[in-house]
Amino acid sequence: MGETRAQQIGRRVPRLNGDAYVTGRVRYTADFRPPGTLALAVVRSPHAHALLRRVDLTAARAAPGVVAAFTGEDALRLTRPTLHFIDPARRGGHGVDIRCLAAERVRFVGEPVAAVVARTPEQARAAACLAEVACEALPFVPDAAAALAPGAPVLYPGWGTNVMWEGRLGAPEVGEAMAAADIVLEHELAIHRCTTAPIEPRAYLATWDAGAGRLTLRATSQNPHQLRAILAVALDIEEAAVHVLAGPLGGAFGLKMCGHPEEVLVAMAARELGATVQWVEDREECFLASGREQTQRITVGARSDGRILAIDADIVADIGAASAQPGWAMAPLAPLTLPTGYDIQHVRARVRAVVSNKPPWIASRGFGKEAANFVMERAIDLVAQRTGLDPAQVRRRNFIAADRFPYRTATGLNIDSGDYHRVLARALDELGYDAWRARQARRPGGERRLGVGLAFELTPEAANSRGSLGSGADSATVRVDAAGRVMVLTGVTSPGGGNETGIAQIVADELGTDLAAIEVVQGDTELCPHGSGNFSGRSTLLGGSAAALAARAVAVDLLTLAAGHLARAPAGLQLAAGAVCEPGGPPLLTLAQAAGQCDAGVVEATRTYAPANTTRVPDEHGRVQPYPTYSNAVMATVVEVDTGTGAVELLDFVAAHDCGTIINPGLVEGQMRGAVAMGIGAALSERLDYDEYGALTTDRFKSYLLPRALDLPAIRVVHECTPSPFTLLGTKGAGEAGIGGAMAAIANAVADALTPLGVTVARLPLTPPAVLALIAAAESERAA
Amino acid sequence: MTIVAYHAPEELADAAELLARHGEGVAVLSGGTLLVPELSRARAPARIVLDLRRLQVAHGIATEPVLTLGAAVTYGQLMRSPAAAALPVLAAAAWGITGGEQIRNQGTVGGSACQANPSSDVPGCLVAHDAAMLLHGPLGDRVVAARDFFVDAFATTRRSDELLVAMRFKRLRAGTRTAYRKFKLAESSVPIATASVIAEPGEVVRVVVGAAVPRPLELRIDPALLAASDAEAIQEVRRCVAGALDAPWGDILADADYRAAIAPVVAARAFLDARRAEARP
Repeated sequence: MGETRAQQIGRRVPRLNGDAYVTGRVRYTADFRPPGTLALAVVRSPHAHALLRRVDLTAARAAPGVVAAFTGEDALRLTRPTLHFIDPARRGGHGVDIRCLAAERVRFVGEPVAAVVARTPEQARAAACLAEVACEALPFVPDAAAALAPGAPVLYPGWGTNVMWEGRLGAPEVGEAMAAADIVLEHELAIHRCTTAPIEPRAYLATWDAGAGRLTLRATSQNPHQLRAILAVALDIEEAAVHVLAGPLGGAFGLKMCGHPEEVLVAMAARELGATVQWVEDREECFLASGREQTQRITVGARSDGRILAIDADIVADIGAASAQPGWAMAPLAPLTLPTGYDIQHVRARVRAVVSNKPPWIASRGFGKEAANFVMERAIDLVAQRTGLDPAQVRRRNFIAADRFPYRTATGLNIDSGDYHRVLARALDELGYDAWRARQARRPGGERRLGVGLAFELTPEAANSRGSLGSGADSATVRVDAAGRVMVLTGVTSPGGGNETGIAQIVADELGTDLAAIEVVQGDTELCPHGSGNFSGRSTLLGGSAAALAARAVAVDLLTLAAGHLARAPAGLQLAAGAVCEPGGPPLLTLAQAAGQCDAGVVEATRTYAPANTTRVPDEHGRVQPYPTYSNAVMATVVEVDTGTGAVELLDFVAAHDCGTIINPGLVEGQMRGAVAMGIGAALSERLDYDEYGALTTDRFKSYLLPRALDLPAIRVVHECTPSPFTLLGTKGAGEAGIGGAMAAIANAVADALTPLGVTVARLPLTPPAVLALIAAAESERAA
Repeated sequence: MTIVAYHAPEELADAAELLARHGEGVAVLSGGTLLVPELSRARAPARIVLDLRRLQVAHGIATEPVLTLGAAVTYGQLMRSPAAAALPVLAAAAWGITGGEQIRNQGTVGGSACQANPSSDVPGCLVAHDAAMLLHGPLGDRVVAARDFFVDAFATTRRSDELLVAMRFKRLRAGTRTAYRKFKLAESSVPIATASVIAEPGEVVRVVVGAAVPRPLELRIDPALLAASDAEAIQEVRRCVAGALDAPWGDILADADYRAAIAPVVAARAFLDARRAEARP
C-alpha cells in the first residue's frame, strides 16, 4: 500500500473517546442500575484467623427491605469452587478450593462470610451490620516471617506448610563464581505492602433470566471471557449461557482481573432470586486488595572494576491468604526477571510464596517485575558505592551489549532486542547528569542534601504463561459495512488507558481510512471474539496485531470485490483516503461501495495473533520463556532530602523508554507517567498497615497516602526505539514499565543523598519517618 | 450506630433545645468533612444529627466592632473575606487545607476546633491568635479562651449540651510579624507538626506548636531572639520546643517519637520565617 501506510501509527492522536471521559458522559459499570435492581452487601470477617462457628442472619433478614441473605453454607450448596486464574497446583504448588463465601474458617479480616440482598444499597448495608458472626479465634500469622517460623500455625491444614509455592531458577550453584569476586555484598531488601487504588472501585450487576436459564453479568473486569468461564464453572452452567459485559473502566492495574469472590457471589444471588443484583465496592473494601510485600536477601559478587560476576537471591513473598485471583503469581516474577538487563550468567534465585492472615495479593501493575528491578538496581548502586565507581559506569560495565540480542538470561528469559547503553546515555543527557553531579559536589553538607538516582528497568510483557486462564495470543474481528463504517471487535480490553485509540490507528493504516470511520468494541463476550482481555501490557501489542491481521484480510477482500466491479486486476489497486484507487490516482470506489459489492453487504475477517519467542514447555534446565517482548527504560531522578524532617522532594524525573515501535506516543507517555507516579507512591508514601489483630488501619486516602499532583515533579518521558523482531509491528508491551524503575531510582537517589551520613537504604517506602530513622540509626552507629 | 433523626434548625434556641435534651446523643454537623465519611462507614458517633447549615448566627463574619468568625464559616469563606488579612496565621493555614477547593469550601474552622483532632491546623492557629470561643448552652453564653478550650486529643471544654457559636479575635498590632508552617508526609497527609508564630512589637513572641501534641503547645520566646543570628535562633527555638514537648502525639501516620523529633525543626523554621516576614501596617 506504499505511501498511504503508516499515516496513523506513530502519531500523537488524541483519544477517540477522550471527550466522553472528561465530560463525565462515560457510563461506568456502577451507573447501570435498571429499575428493580436489588443491592448486595457483603458481611466480612472481623477475625484474622478463626473457625467459623455460626453466622446468624436472623436479625439481618428481618431488617427493612431485606430480600435474602446467604452464608458460606449456602455457597457450598449453590456453587462449585472458583476456577483459579492461575492455579498454584498446576504449577507444582499447593492448591485450595476457593468459594465466594467462607464456610468453615476465615483467614483474614475482611474475608466475605455472608451476603445480604435488599431493595436499596442503604438497606443492604444497614442489614449487613446486623449479621452476627460467631468465631473461635485461632492464633494468627501476621506476616511471612511468622508463617515460616518453626511451629507456626498452618493456615491450610492439608498443606503441612505455609509455603504455597516455591521456585528455584537459574544455576543450581553460584559458589565458584562468587569465590572469584573481589567484593561480596549481602543485603536484605524489602518492599512494603501496597495497593493500586484505581479511582473506580469494582462493581458487578448480575441478571438471571430464569426462562432462558441465562446469566448476564455487567462487570468491572479486565478479562470478560475468563470471567465467563469462572461463572460457568462456579454455577455449573454452560459457558454459552453466560454473557459478560465489561467496562468501560476507570483504572484497573490488575485489580479487575477476575477470581474475586464477589463475582460469583452476585451471580449466585441473582440466580437464587431470579432477579437483578448489584454490588458496588466501597473504598474501604477496595483497600483490602494488596500486593508487592516481599523481602529479598541478595548476595552479589563483583570485581573491583564493577563487573558483577554472580547473584544469589532468596525472596520471600508475603502473599496473604490464598485467592483465585492471579495475584499470587506475581511472586515467581521477581526471581524470573533477575538479573534484568545485565549480562550476568551466574544467577541463582529462590522464591517462596508464603501465606499469612492478611488479605490476598491481588494482581498489581508491575506484577512482581517491579520487585526484580528494585532489587537489581539497588544492588548495582551498592556495588558502585563499594567500588567507588559512578553508578552509571557500573551499569555500562554490566549491560547486555546491543549486538547480543536476542539474549538468553540465566533464568531462561529470551530478551528480544534493545540498546541499553543508548537509553542510559539519553536519560543522563536529558537529566543533565554531569551538571547535577557538579552541583552536588559544590553543596555537600547541610540540612538539604541532593541525591541523584538512576535505575534501569526491564519489563517483560504480554505473558504466555502456563497454568493460566489467560493466553499469550489474542483475536480481533474487523468488519466493513456497506455504509463504509469500520467496526473492530477485540478480545483485548482497555483498563482506561486508551488502547482503543491505538488499535484504531493500526486498523486505519491497514485500510487506508480515516480514524473517524472506525469504531472499536471491547469487553462483550457475545460480540467480541475470544480473548484474554487486559494484563501484562498485552492489549495494543496482541489486540492491535490481531486487528492488523484481520484488517489485512478485509483489505484483500475489498480490493478483490472492487477489482471485480471495476474490471481491473486487484494487484493494481490499493486502499487510501477511504477509497479504492490506483497508486497516486483518484478514488475509484469508496470503501462503502467496495463493501457493497459483497452480497452480504459486509466484509469481515477474524484473526488471532500470537507473537513468536515464547515457550510454555520447560527446557532441559526447567526454564520457560513466557514473555515475547521486553521493553526497557532508564529512570533518572534528582531528590532533595531534608535531614531535619526526613522529607524527600523530587526535583526532576526523566524516563528514557524503549518499547519498540510506538503506535501513539501520547498513549505510551500516559502509561509511563501513571506507572512512574505509582512507583513514586510505592517508594515514598504508600503503605498498607494492620493493627495487632490483623485489621487494616490504612483504609482511606487520609491514611493510605497516594501521591497527588503536587507531590509529583513533571515526569519527562523521552523515547528510543529498537523494534522487537518477534512481533508483527515491532511493538513491545508498554503498560507496566515505570513502577520498578521509579521505585529503584528514588531509593538510589535517597541513598546517594545520605551515603555521606552512613545510611544504607534497604526498605520501601521511604516515608519521612523512615528516612529520619535511617539517619538517626546511622548517627548512633557512628557514635558507637 | 445508625442515624435516626436529622435536624437543621434556623434558630439558635431550637439548636440549644435539641442539645439540652439529647446532649451526647447529638452529632453536630458543620461542614461534614469529618462526620460524613464516618456516617458513610456506619460509624456514626451519635443517633441524632444537628446540621448547622441553616443556623444564621453560625455563618457570619464580622470585622467590626469585634473581629468575629461564626463557627460554621468555611475555610473558603474566611479566605475570601476581609477577616483573612486580620487573621494571617489562620488564613495561611486555611490556604493549605488538604483536599483543595472542595474541602476548603466545605470544611469549617469551628467544626475542626470542636473535633480537636491533634493532627489538624485549626487548634494551634486559634491558640496563636488568642481566640475567644463563644459557647451557647442552657445557662446562656460563656466565653472560653482557645488555650483553655483544647484540653486533650479530641477533647474540649465544650459540654455536650453546648454549641460553639462563634470565635472572637483581638486585632494584631501594627508592626506584627507572623508565620505559619505545617509539615505533612505527603500532600494528602494530615498535619504532622505545625508551628504558628506571632511576634507583636514589644511583646514576647508567641510560638504555638500543633499536630505534634495532644493539645496546642504555647511557648513564649524572648523577642531578643528576633535579632539573633540564624544559627542561634534555630538552636534556641529548637531547645525551647524540645524541652516543652513532654507528651508528643502519635497516630497511624506518624508516631510520637517522630513528631517529637521534627516539631522543634518545624518551629525553628517558622520562627525564621516570621523574622523575615513583612511587618503588618
